[in-house]
Amino acid sequence: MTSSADVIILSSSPNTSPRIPTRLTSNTERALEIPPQAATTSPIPLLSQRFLPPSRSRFFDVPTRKDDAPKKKRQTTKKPASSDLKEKDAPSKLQQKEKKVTKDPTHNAEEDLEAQSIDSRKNVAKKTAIPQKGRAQQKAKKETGNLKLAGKVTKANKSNDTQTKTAKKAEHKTAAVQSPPADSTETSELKAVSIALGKDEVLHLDEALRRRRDWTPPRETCPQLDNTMENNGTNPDETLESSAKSGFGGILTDYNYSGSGSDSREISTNEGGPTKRRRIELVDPQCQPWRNQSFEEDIPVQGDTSSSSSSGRLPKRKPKTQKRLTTLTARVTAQYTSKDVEDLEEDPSADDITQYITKSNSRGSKKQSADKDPELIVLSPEAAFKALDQQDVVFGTCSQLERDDSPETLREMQRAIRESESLAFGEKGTDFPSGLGQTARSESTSGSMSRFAGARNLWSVAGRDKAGSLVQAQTVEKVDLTDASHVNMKKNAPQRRPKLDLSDDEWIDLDDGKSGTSQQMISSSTKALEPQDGLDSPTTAVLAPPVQDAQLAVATSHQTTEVSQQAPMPQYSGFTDAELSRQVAAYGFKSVKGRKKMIDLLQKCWESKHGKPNHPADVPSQPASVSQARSMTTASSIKTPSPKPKSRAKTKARKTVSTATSTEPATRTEAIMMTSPKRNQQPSSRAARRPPSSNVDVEEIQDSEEEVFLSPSQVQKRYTEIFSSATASTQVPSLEILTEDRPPTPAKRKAPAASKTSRSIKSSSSAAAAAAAKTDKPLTADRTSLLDISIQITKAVRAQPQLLPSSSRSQPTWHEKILMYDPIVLEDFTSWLNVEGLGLIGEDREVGTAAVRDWCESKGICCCWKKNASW
Amino acid sequence: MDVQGKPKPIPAYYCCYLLRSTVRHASLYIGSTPNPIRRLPQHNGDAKGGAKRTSRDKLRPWEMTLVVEGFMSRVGALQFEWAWQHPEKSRHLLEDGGELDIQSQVPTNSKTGKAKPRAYRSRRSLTAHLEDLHSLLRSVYFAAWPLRIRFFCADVYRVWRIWNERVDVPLPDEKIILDGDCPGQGGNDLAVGSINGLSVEYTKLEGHLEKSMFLLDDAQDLRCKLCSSSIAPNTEQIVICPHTDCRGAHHLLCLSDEFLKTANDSDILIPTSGVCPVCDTIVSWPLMMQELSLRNRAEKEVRTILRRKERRDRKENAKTLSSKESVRQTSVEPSQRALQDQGCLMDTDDPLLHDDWYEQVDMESDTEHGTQKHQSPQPPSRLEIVIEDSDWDDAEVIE
Repeated sequence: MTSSADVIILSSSPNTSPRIPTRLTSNTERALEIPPQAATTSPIPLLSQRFLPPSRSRFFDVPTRKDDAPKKKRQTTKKPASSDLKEKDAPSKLQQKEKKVTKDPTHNAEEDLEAQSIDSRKNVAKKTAIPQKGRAQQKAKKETGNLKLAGKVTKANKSNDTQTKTAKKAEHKTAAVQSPPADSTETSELKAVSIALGKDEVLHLDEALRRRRDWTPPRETCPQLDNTMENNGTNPDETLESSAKSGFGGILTDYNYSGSGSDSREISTNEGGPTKRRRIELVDPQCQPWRNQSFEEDIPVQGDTSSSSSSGRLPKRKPKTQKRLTTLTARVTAQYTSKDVEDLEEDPSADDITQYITKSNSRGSKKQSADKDPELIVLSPEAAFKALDQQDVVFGTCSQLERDDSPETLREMQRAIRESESLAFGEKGTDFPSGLGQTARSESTSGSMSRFAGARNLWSVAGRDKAGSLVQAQTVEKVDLTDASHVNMKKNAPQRRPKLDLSDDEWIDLDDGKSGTSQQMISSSTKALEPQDGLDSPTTAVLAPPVQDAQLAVATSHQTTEVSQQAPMPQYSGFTDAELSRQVAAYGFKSVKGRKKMIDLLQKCWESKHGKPNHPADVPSQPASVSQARSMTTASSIKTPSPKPKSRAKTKARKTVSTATSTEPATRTEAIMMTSPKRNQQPSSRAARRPPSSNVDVEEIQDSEEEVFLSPSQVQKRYTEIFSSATASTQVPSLEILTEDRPPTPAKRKAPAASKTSRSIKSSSSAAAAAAAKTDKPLTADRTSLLDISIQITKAVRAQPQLLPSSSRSQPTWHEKILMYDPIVLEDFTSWLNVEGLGLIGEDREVGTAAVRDWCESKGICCCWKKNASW
Repeated sequence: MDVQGKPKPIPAYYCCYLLRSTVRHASLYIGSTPNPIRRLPQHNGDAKGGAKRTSRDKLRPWEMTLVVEGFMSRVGALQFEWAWQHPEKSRHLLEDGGELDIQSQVPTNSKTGKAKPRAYRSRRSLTAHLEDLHSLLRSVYFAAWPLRIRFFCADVYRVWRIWNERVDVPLPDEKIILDGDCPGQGGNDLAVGSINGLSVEYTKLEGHLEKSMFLLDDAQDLRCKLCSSSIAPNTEQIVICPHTDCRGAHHLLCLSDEFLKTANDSDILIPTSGVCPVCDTIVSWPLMMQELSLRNRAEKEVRTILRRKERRDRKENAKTLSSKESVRQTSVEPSQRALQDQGCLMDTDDPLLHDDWYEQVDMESDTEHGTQKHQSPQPPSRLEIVIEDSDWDDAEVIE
């Protein structure tokens, strides 16, 4: 592996660089940054150094891994094309690299990177560095860049290999020493597995060159960007070189610093690596928020490093861009709406993320603080603006940001990701062990899903929980279905690797250690969420939902994503409030306050409209009602293919729920909090769990669980369904029947309705029902809002019972007052309606005086305000 | 009307009127009053309390060209008055605005340029006021009210008729009463000749009240024919058929449901009229409600009314004895009829006739007290209900 890792490193580094110029810059910047920091702080001695280099290497390595591993093992990966491009550039760069190599060799000699691999690496590094240098026109800088790259490569190798500390150390040493290429090759061979080297070397050199070439051209297309990036990178490189030239100590310090960063990076890189992949290929919307955050954080760091390293203009530009992303993005985007942006964005984001993670994980605080000071000095907003204006090319980061701003692009990205994932999942889906499990799930889960369709977030949350609680979930399994789900889960996890980020061995390891993965997932999710919150308005809002989905998908092994994919539900999260409200209105609902509510409602509506799968729990009783409610378009979930994914989700959710209680309640709750609206999230999750269980052991589970918790979502769903069905079929009269039949109190009325739909609801205690009723209120109101409220008012007026036979004369009912032409005091009448009247007919909505006045006037009933009642 | 504290009975009379200067016909004034007989002298300065806008001597005397009567509450009358005075602000007019404008586009343009006069209230023309009145009476809110226009001036009615013909949806004829010098009121029992002929008191309910009190006084054997349950007049809202010889007594809700059944519109809450299940005659809902509210909410006044009626009846009897061939016998004295439960003079198929029929009777009976029928103002009502007139200037924004 080490050898392969080495080779991979070489290829990877070029790949990464070509992909996204920003990445390269960021990498270089990081490397540059790291050394100064290390030199200054140097809190972590040898160990830190050792670790640090791997981190650098990891960055490169991770990409390299991807490239190499896929190439060698998979070879079908995209990289070959990129390699061609790289090759073009390679020759020129090779020479430069050679120079670098001379320096690098010293490092390499110790660590033993293969000569070829080193060369390739160097070449790559040179290539990357060369353009920068060419712009900077400083050979020394180039060399430094090469050196750094080499060091990174070594680190990457280590990381790739799963980071044997020794290898890392060797790499560090090599980097620090900057031994000639020959040495490096020798060392690499010695330490790293010769076999791997042999394999990697041959392929890598060619590929690396090609890749480099490939990559370079795109840079040229955006010369300014590259220049800026390169310049930034070069500057740090220069500083490094200078430091290296000054003496071993300087070089070592640089490496040391990097090494310290590397430790954190390794872990982080693992996350970042997969995330990167995902983002690029599968395009998880979730990742973007991360990127943004990471960008912001990274950018300042870069600026710091650049500033510290060199007082050149370049650093200024970067910091400016970093600090005022929005402004920069706006300007940049205005000038350039480049198609390349996307590519750039993805890569840099990944890099940024890794950096961010590493920093945060390690002692980022110190470094950041140290860095920040120089940044402040360097940048003045005006100067930054000027510099920005002068810059023709914009960084990838800016482009990313801009992209994020536009909801459409986000949606597109998400769709693309989902599609790609769906394809992948489809394959995986076939992989699922037992057809039984699928069918069973589909039935059961689909039902549950439909019930809770409103709280889609809940499912996603559940998915997360699953990821965290997969191991424990097995223990919870009650039914065959659950078992199947477990199996699926397990399988999913491994499958996940390739999809997410095959390159990261560490990631896989973490997955194996389920606890670790869960934590990571959680952390990642939390991080992503936090940044979203932090971000301002539209972008955050847009990003937030997708992020959740993506996280869920990643964490919960794509199941949730599959579901989403199957049903191309519009990303309401990406809608603006106005759009959301419009959509809500389109569905015939009143305007709903709260973005989340609107989104939930819209999702429910969409699901109901487009044939959401039926819930398994509902199977006995619900399906009929559901089908009626949804009209003909929606077929039962069982029939439709869509239910399957949902079923998976169910199973997962179930597992998660069950396990969650034991394993990680806190984390789960958090996740739930994040995703789901403010409703009782836990109950909802439990409810979600129930339906699946209900299929198998309906009564048992229901009895126990329902008594404890009646999920508001369930009740609500059923009610809404009933309502909708009733309305659809007979509209007003049906409603009347329902209302009339129902007992006066809302809770009671709900109870009967529930009884119709499902036994579970019946079992639920009155208290629970009441609670559910409360929670349901908004939703049901929305549903029933279709019914004319005036009809309800009329009904309420007519339904008012005589208080007492004796008091009729002194206290006439509202109906009597109306009949006697008494002016109706709107305030009193409205309050009566809201307190009592509408409750009589099972109407949960409340009416305003304005609505009541309209009603009165439409009926020709003399009405007036209280202040005028004395007229 | 305070619904909870002391609910007031439905006023005996309340109207909105369009006042016009006999000197300068362009000067118009919209007001409302429960007693136009008292109100008009105030405007003319014959009595205190006239509105400021009508105080200019140049414009006096004023005449009430028309009244909109039938308001079942002071609040409603004030709302209507305000809406009529402020057509540009009234939601009820705005609601119909679309239709109205479309319908009235041609006439308005040719005549007054509707838009501008609306903006300047003081310059509003008679036509504009009539337009507003027309649209108000057709508005969703006021259309359901038992309102009628009583024209006293032929020229005003002419303008109205022209307008009414131009509008796509003319006002139903039942809502129009031709009175005064308006032509074509032959055979119209509702005409009272002039403002002073209006019955602004509960006297028109005397007979009804008397009968219902008599009936409910011994309600042991009375049953609501609709729900077949016994009637408890002290605790329940019992509606008594206004027909003198009808012993129909029903629960309020029962009767309303019965009336609304025939209406074929489940959306309507208040019936306008219906067939009494007992006597199979058409009865006016507002009239019954008036009696019911008065009986239930103003026992004192009822007693006063009945006492007065008793006195009058005694005199009447004496008179009738003396002159048996008086014309009045045939047409008048509902009280006697009520007491005797005889005579079917009140069997009028048109529910709208009742009020006016009573009015006529009252007027005649009033003559005995020395008031001339069409000329002199009626004696001030002894009822305690004092309803202040609204002045234009006092108009508040009801909505």
